[in-house]
Amino acid sequence: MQARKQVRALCEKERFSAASMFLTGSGLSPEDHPGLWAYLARLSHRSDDDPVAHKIRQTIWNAGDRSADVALREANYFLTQEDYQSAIFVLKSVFGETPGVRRAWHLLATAYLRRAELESARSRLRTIRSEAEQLDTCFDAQSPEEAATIIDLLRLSGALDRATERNADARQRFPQDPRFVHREARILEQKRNPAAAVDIWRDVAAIDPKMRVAALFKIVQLTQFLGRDEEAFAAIAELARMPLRLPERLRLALVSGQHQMINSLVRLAALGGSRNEPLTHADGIRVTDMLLDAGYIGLTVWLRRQRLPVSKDTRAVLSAAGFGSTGLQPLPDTVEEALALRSPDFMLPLQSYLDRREKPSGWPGMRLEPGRVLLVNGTLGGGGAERQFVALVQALVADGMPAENLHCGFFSLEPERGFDRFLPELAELGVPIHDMRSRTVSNPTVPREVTSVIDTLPLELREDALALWHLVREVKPDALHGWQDRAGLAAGLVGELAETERVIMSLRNTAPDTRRDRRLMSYKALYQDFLNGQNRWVTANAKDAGKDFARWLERDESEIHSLKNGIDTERFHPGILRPRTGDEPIRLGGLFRLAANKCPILWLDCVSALRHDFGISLTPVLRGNGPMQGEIEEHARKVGLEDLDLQTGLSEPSDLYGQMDAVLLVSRVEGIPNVLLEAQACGLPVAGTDVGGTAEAILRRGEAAGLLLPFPAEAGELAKAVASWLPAAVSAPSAPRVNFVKRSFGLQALAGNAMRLYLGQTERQP
Amino acid sequence: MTSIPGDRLGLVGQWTDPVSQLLQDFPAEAKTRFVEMNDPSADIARVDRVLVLSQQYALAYLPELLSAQCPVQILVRRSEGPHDQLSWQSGIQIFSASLRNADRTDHITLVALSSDAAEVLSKELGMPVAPLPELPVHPGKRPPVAVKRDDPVLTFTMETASEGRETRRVRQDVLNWARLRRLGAPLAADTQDEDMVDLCEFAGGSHECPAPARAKSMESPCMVVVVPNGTGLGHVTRMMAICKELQEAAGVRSIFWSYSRAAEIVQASGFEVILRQNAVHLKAHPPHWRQWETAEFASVLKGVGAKLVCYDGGSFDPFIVNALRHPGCGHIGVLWVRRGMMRPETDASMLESEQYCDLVLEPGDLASEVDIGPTRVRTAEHRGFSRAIESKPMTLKPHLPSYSRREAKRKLELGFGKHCLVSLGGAFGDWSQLKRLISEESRANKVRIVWAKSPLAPPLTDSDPDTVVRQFFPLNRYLNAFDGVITAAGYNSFHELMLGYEGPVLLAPTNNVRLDNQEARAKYAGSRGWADVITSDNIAEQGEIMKSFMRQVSRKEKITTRPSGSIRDKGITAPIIDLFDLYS
Repeated sequence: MQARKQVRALCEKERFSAASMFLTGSGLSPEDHPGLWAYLARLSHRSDDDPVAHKIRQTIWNAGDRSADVALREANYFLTQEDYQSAIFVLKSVFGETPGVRRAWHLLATAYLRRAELESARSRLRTIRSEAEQLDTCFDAQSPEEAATIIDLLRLSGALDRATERNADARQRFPQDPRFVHREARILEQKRNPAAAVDIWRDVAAIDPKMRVAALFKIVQLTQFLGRDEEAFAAIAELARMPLRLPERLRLALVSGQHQMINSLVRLAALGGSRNEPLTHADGIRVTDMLLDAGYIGLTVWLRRQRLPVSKDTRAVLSAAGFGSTGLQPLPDTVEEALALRSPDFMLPLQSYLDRREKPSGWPGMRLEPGRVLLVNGTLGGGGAERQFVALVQALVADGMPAENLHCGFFSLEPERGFDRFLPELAELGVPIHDMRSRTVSNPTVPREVTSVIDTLPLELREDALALWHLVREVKPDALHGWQDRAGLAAGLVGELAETERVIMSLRNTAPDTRRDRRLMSYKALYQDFLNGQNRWVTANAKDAGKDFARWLERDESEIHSLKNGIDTERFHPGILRPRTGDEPIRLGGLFRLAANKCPILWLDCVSALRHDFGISLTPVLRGNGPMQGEIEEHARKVGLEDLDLQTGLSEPSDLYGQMDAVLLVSRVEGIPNVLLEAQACGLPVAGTDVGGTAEAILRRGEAAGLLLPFPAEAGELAKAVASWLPAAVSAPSAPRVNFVKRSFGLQALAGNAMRLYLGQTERQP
Repeated sequence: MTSIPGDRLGLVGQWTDPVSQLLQDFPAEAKTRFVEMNDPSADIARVDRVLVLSQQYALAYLPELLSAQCPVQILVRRSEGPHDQLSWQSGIQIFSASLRNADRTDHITLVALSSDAAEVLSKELGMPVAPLPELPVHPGKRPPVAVKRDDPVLTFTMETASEGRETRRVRQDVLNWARLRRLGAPLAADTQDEDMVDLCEFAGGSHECPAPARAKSMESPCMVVVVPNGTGLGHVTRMMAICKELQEAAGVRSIFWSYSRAAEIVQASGFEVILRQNAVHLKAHPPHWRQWETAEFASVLKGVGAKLVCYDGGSFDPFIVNALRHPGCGHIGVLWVRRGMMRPETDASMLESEQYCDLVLEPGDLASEVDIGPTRVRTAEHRGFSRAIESKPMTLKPHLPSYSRREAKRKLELGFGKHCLVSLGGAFGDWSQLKRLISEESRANKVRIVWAKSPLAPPLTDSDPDTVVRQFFPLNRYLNAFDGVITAAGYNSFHELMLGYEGPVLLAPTNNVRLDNQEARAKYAGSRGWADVITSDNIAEQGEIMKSFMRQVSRKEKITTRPSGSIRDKGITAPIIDLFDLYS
């Protein structure tokens, strides 16, 4: 009684620390007198982040009193201290993984989200799907904060459908809160509908001055992805006229790829920013992190030498890469030298950088069995290259390669983003499939030598390389085969890091400069280095693609090997077509990704001209997926093709080609167009623009011959050529086309060519 | 370019950009003060007009340029070649969109490097682009120099008096283009690099734009002498000798940019001195120090109107070369005074500094016959446009006559009797043994020892009351006070003694790892009978040598075998004065 009085008296004077000491000194332990301590704890936490209150709660917690009140206050305290693991532990200990107390639920969601943010330093922000989905089942959000937290948790975990639902609900309930508009745009972007996201960001930029800069940056990023250059330029120009802070301005320079702009702004950063607006410590860290993520390691080093702050992570990366005070890398003295020092180029030749012993000439020789092969691709989305990936696996299995030895790895197979389109077909083949995004890494430790390379890479390559390195370490393949450019780059790097016996990099389409891909263009030296490795083979799927890459890489075209596409003629055959009746309009089809490089607008204009200017009776048929769907539908109406039969999300051969009598492609960029091969395998006449490997993919002789169209060309010009070819082509016999595909692009040929690479029977050019 | 004489032109962009360097060749810009705007938002108020060196730089600071209260010219550049085409095309479109939608652009004009470029760029941008005025052609025959942007080294052929046609190399990043166009005729090696084609055409100038008549300047030609932080006085002494010659021959004003504590001596000799501190002195972060030093040095060069930078030392600190690349520093030549007789193991890469220079002057060395150092046996890979000349040995003697014995003794407060001067270097095998020998033999021969204290040395800690210590400079003026000299064999002491002193000399060359091959020099003198030599490797003979030397001192012997004749070399001034003419 006396003690309680004393404690109360001390608490009234706000002498909580003294009260705590009094209780301890009086031998009144929390185990024996929990009420007294709880009383003190309650009074003392005027603010949850009060360290005295925390000490008292800690004493109570340690004594085994894990009450809801103590847990909530402790969790709150840990959140303010950025100790998210402790917050999660405290909450889970008391409330379990699916809290039934609303406040605990929100705190746990917040802790998950903040932990992900903290862990995402130098990588993309991701949350754990199972945790997000568990929490989502607990409560309906009642406040905008709760809704925003749970939506972020869901969308960053990849649970996009649920995130969409929750966001729609939040938009209805909190119509004035702009955050849910932004989240809708972000979810649309994640769901591969960037065109719709752009529209939202445009509205945001127009009405919300606070979000204008962020919205414009989003528009730049998305329109660049969509290949809508004019819009991207306009948004960059608008940002350029705005009085941005230095980090934002540098970001603008980086996204617009203007080196002198970067150079100039980095020099200003080295001065500590403008005298009118000095850089803060956080700005300095942001600037250096941004540069490192973009591969400008030299500028990062230079700015560090100019005493600009760098983050702890960046400091560790620079030091591991030899740019520390005792490192072996020469330090750039001028900004020009620094600008030229880019990652990964500074590590080339990679073999020397890693101090690998030189192998004897002829290594790694030939094998009798391919051993274990790891085939890697970005996704299994609905593109031609992904289809070819499956065809290759199918061909190899059919050719006798044991399925268990043919591992397939993907950077992501997220269903809600459409990255698993061909997963069922692949799974049917019985090969081990690894989703690098969701798989659990058994041993996350990475040797220093490996981190010193991977951590310095530009962000996008860094993440791929790390994920693939873990997979390669577990699978231990004898041959590592990167299927498309992105996977090829990662495979080339990881193959060297893991000392894989054989590495095959299959390039697709055309060289990066032809397809105006600035990001890939920056890896030119890396590709060149790959070509120097004795155990590395670079392949292209078309002769012209090989030539184009050889030109870009300034190498002889014989150094790029051919690995032509393969078509499963048992799936694609004339029997899947619905024959046309005599007086029916010609069903002129197109099957391609609905993206700028396939020129869908030109395709519509050409078809419109065939109908309206050349009097061809036709039905336009379009199949495909992609970001331009909305735009295509609108343009079709505009040019008098209201009857356009556009269907997306199809994968069955009969759904794709069954309703077509001829196929037309007017792409700007192509490798070997699968569509033309598949269409001909079905017996359909085809016409395509003379880009990439189109000429190789079309039967060119006889009455069943296809049509090679000039490119670039106006819609009218294309239509004129098609009009004079089409009527006879649809009446011609289909057998020559079918035989042409079987002969040159059958699965057997593909398996044989791939197997030769895995066995080392394809000679490397000196 | 239209300018008001003396106005301030703010440059936005990289100051090493050839265009910013070539601007000073416009007659109208002769008096312009070029202000490098590293921080345009703050600097824009300090200038009268602005030139932005490319559309990309303009994009970096567009809000500041659009709201500027002074005229702004933006130089629109063409692509640097196929690899740059995509980025350039994007840049042009962004730039065009930025200006087209700007509220106010009436103060902005777009310019290009040539008429062709202006025409093409006008079409690309959809807005008028005017060509910059043409530069005057620089008279005289110059070797064509093919410039390739990504080749760090320029290779060209030039006629030399000694070798005829000779292939030369120079790093591209060491030359200011205003200087390059005086020394050579730049040509674009890669015609796909349209910007380089434009630059070279612009740098070549036009015959329709005649060079302005060269007015006789009322001001003295000015040279800035960079003195490194050496341990001896050799650098300073040689440079003062050259400066005195140039002063007499052409009234050249010499300003010393000195890191040496000898600055006081230089100033006392009547020269202007700018005393500097290096990064070590200041405990500064070297890159920061270098940046600051570059900017300061460039500012002084422009401020004093220097036409020549002279350096006497081993390797050039980059700040010198970097400063010479600043806008407004392109009409300055470089003279390197580089002593021979380097130790054979000296890293020959130091010779590569020849590429920075117009003239490499090697002060003659009496022992050059035994010179096997890199300056004698190696050739620099990068020699640039430099040529090399050799002079007679160089000392201050012709300019500062010696005192009579009486006067010298009085000035040194030595009194009567026989005196031997001891002036030793920093390292010599067993020091205590040598000191003991000097002490014993001088006492035995009744010779008083006078220890010379270098003006650069810290105060002596030796408190022996019998020790006579004197500090004086230069040595030659006081030599008559002494009956013998024991000295190290550095260039300066050696030549002052061998060319202007009659008494016995004992050379005790230092054997530390400095560049100077003192042992070879001393042994050569010994072999010719000019001096006795005591070295750290002849320990057994040291006693006898010292004994014999002190006897000679005691007997006041005269040595008659030393070289004679005039040591003044007026011939060295002509090629240096030619440089002043070239850059005027």
